[in-house]
Amino acid sequence: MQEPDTFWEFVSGQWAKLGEQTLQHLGLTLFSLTIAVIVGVPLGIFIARNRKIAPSVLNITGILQTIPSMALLGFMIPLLGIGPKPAIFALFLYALLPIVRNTYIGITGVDADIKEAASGMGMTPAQSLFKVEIPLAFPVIMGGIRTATTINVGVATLAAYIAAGGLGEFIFGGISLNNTNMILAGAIPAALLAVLLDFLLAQLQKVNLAKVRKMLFAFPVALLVFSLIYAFRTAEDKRLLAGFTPEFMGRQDGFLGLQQKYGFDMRTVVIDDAMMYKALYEKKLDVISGYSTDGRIKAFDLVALTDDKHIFPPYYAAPVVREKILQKYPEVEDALNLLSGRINDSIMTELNYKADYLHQNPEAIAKEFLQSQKLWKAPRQNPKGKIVIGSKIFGEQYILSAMYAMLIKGYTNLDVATKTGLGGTKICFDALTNKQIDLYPEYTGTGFLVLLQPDEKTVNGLIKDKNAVYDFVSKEFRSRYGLKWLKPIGFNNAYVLMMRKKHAEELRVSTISDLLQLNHN
Amino acid sequence: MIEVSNVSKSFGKNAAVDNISFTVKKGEKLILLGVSGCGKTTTLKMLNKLIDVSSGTISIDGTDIQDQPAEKLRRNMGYVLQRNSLFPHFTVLENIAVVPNLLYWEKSRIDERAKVLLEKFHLPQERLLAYPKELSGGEAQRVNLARALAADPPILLMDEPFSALDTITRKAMRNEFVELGEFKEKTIVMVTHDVQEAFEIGDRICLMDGGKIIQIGTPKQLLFAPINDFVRDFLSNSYLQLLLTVTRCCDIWKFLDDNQQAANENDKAFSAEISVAAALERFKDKNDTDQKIRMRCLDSVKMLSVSDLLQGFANYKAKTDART
Ligand SMILES: Nc1ncnc2c1ncn2[C@@H]1O[C@H](COP(=O)(O)OP(=O)(O)OP(=O)(O)O)[C@@H](O)[C@H]1O
Ligand SMILES: [Mg+2]
Repeated sequence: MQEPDTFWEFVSGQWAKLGEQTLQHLGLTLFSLTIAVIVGVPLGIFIARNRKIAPSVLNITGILQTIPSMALLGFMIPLLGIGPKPAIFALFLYALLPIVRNTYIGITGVDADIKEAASGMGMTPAQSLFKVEIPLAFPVIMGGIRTATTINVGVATLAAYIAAGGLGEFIFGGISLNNTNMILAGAIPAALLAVLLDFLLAQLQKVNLAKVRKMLFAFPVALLVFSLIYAFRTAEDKRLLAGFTPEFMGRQDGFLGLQQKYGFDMRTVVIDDAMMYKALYEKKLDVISGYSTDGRIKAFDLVALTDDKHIFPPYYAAPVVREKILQKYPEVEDALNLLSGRINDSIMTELNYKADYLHQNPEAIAKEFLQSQKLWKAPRQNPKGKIVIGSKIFGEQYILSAMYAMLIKGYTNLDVATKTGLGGTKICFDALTNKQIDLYPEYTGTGFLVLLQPDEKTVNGLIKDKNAVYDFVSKEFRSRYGLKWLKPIGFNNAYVLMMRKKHAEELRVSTISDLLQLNHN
Repeated sequence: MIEVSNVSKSFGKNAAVDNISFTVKKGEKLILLGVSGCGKTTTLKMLNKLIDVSSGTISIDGTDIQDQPAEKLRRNMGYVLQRNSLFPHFTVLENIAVVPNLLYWEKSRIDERAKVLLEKFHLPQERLLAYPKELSGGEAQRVNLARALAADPPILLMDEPFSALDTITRKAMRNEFVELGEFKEKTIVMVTHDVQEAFEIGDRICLMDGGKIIQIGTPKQLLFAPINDFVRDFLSNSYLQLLLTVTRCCDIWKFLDDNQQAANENDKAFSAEISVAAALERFKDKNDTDQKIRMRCLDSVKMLSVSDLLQGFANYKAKTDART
């Protein structure tokens, strides 16, 4: 994706989307807030009247608030699906505590003499509540509503994780695409929204409730109407639904490519990587973006659709090694190449499944696999040197680096140190060029698009052909950095679209074109 | 008429009020007197059902209050709290309008009533739109009284209505209140721990201790016929002042020097129905021996100085004591 030069260029280009996200954000915040007020204020009054149960009710609402947002959203997918419903419910739960607590404090804080005067004059409990207690507690109650609003504007950014929209789409999309303008385009309106809502509520807080009853009733009514409009806007739809990560949405070799080459026009929502497999499995989504060797394909019984127009670049994994090391210890190359051609997509998926889902130790998985391939040998004694292997911070990389370590120890007279968990691509690559590590497993697509970043013409010319990409990165890495790409291992960890296996079979869909064909009928 | 019979109230094991009985006739002013914690407030609040009795019955004009909805009962009884309790979010007018509103009075009638009350309590009309926090303590207490009287209830319950004020304002407001036409018509039950106040206002005084009634009677009965040492001790501190309060100038009339200066019969004269204490208060400077006031008892009029009054009172006292 071409990154515009300035923040303003980005904003003016994305004006419509920004407006829509802001409205969604406001809708999520206000709708959940309205429900929280409708439930929370009476609940606060109720526990103020029944003080014995007050501590337990406040504790429960307090505990609700300590549940991490992501966990809460995850819990709710099976119950409420994805989209605005679970988001609003989660926001409602978070808003409850400040509202209930402040209502309770406000009502119980009304001077006992004043309350006695009210009943002593002959007011009924209801009259005392509406004419005296609520008006006097009003500033405190409003304080709670203000706190809840600020919390909700913040938490509502997380709604983007479960396809509920809002400004989080820009924020998290920007983070994964490393696009600062995009992050700011989400973060600044969110901050402004928080400040603006707080300011408006602060004005309301100063109002003497005894004077302006009519205006006050207008406020919740307006909120409700706005919220209802919002709810209708996002009404249910029976068509197939695709869920993509914010990163996928912003990539040329992702959603943008799908649109251009396939004319992709399915109903699409933005959802977090951690949530989407579960949402697909729970039938809340029908198609998601993902990686072809992800262990979750096996865990959730999914199938990858064939990319029949070849828009996703190849991501073949191969070890990248410093040439100096190969000159010094030529036997290392032979040892590493032993793995070449041994692991295809489904084997890698299986191995990842063991690591990510069965939580087996990557080294145990590596050893078991090498033994099954009759490649494993016991480490040799008295090593004459040492090789440092790096890896990025996910299961597949841990498994591969463990296999390389075992192969080097078993087939050469060298010892191995591993530096696993080197964060992302950039950190690994820098460690390699700075000689802190000697090799790590890399993917051709990453080397091509992320590290080399060739111009658009080169990209378009080569991207469809896996061999051309491999040749290009090999040549460029050698001449530019003195690094050598050894033979690919065999599997292609590329972007794919996937569906539930059963669903795809029912619909007779096996390629992306099939899917779009079906969507048009 | 209020009838309290065999009423007790306990909070847990603590008997706040222990088997008390008394009646208050229409138009009568009954004072509940006693030290802190003796059960005065508890007794008062049982009359308007802010506190429920543990045992015994209370009836008002022949109807047991248990058989009446609390709200209805309370709207016919003015209630003045021990502490200032104006609604802070209401203006003076809105505070006064609370009970009339509950009784669905028309707005014009409420406004009219509020104006009259403000006049009676010597507050400027523009105070109607002020909020309680803008009032002085004395003004607030006046509004508090006005609020209790707003719907002209036949019964008025007052819990130490003047206690939050300084002694001078307190005395002034008490006199002002006693002079009010509203005051004279109403059946009043008032709580105080101030003996002087009790003697000035009360037709009868109910002296309490530890939740029990020790003695109930007119100020004179308490002063001259205390039933035990507790009553005697309770009154002994301000005995002379109380004596001057229960003795009317009429009572000592024949012991007063008949000064022949009462020449002009048409001049304004105070009624001798007032207490000696009240008469002494009419003198602006009590050390000025030349200052005199005109006083009338039945047909006779006398010009009296402070020393004349004190002399007469001493002679009266000596004579009555000799008789008993
Ligand atoms: N709500 C309550 N719960 C428990 N005990 C109470 C309650 N109200 C009053 N009491 C107790 O009952 C007794 C009488 O209290 P009450 O308020 O009637 O005293 P009082 O004569 O009005 O005193 P004061 O002159 O200080 O106002 C006291 O011992 C008090 O502690
Ligand atoms: Mg009291």
